[in-house]
Amino acid sequence: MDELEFRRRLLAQPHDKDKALLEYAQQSPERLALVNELKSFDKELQQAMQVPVPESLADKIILRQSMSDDGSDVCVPMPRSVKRPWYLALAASIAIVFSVALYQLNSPTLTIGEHALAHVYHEIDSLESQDRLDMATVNARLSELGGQLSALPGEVTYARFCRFKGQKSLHLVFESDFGPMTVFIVPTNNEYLGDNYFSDQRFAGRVSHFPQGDAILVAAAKAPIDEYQSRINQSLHWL
Amino acid sequence: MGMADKQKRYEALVQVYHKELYRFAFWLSKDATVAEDLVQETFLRAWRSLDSLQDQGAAKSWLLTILRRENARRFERKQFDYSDVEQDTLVDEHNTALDDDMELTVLQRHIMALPDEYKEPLILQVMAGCSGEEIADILNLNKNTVMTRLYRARNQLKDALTRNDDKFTEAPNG
Repeated sequence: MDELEFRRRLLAQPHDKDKALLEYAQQSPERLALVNELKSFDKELQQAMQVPVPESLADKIILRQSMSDDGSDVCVPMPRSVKRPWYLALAASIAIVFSVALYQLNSPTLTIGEHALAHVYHEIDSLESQDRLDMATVNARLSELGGQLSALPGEVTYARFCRFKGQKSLHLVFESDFGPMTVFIVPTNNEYLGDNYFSDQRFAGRVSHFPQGDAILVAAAKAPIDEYQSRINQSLHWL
Repeated sequence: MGMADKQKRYEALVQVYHKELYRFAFWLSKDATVAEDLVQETFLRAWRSLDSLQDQGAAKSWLLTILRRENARRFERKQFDYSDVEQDTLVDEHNTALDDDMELTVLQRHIMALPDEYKEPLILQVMAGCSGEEIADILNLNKNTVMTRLYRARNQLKDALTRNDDKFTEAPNG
């Protein structure tokens, strides 16, 4: 090795751990000084290159991928007639959803359960909603889909029109004694793939088929979901 | 691979690599908005061909390669003939756009002003921690060429920093 090669190699790779290179460096203080200088220069470079990464970029990426499995799966907020500024909490997810809407892609077919779970995860903020919606507000929405609910077993905190597998549907969340539960009311009975029972580590779900549509309930895995399913089904009427 | 497994694997990749990919995209595109789009596109493509990624150890190079290709596509889409445009024009144009987004330090300006052929391997090495072999793989070059470019990249930066350059008379931050 000579000075020129040493310099070339070091400038190409200041952290090179090659034995010959390191031994050559040890032989003179000037060379060692160059090693240190280049290492600290690299540290400066590294800092300069660490440009700020937008917050929640990872979440946005994951959301968009999930949505891309069914490009039409886009929730739209209810009109402003809802009294409380619930949309503030949702502003971020709405922004994401709008950008998702721009990228409608073909995709593999999900089962109804996978779809429902993915949908809940896409809008995981919906489970945190602090809003209180009365049944009149909910039913005003639901009547557009040909349904009415006499009651839900808990206060409704979230009610938005959604696309569920391309079908305009209502995405509801209510507070049960076992945490927030999600109900998708999907009009017109679609012949979905998959079981009427589904679950993952966090959630469990049930699908109820009616001649006019489906009601899909998603609850915490340990909740007595069948009981809730039957209460919802009893209160659901089709117009 | 089951859907749930695939999803899990994908989310892990996103968590681990999205920052590096974003930064690589930023230095390639010189634009925060474009960088974000590039990362989104990259991960969508990665999702679609996730089954082809057999070796987890190769994930970073794989993603960086996809991103680089996405960036090239961006130019194709614009029917933008890169080679016909003078590098100076490019740099100036982008630097103007950049000023709106964030204030760059002198060092960042010098990095940005490097020719792409030097900047890319340097970013991959210093920011993304890629080895010479990985960089060669991502840039589709042989390793000697990569080493030469890395040497020139640092040489140019050091020259530029010691030179009294009218272009960069602004005081560094702090």
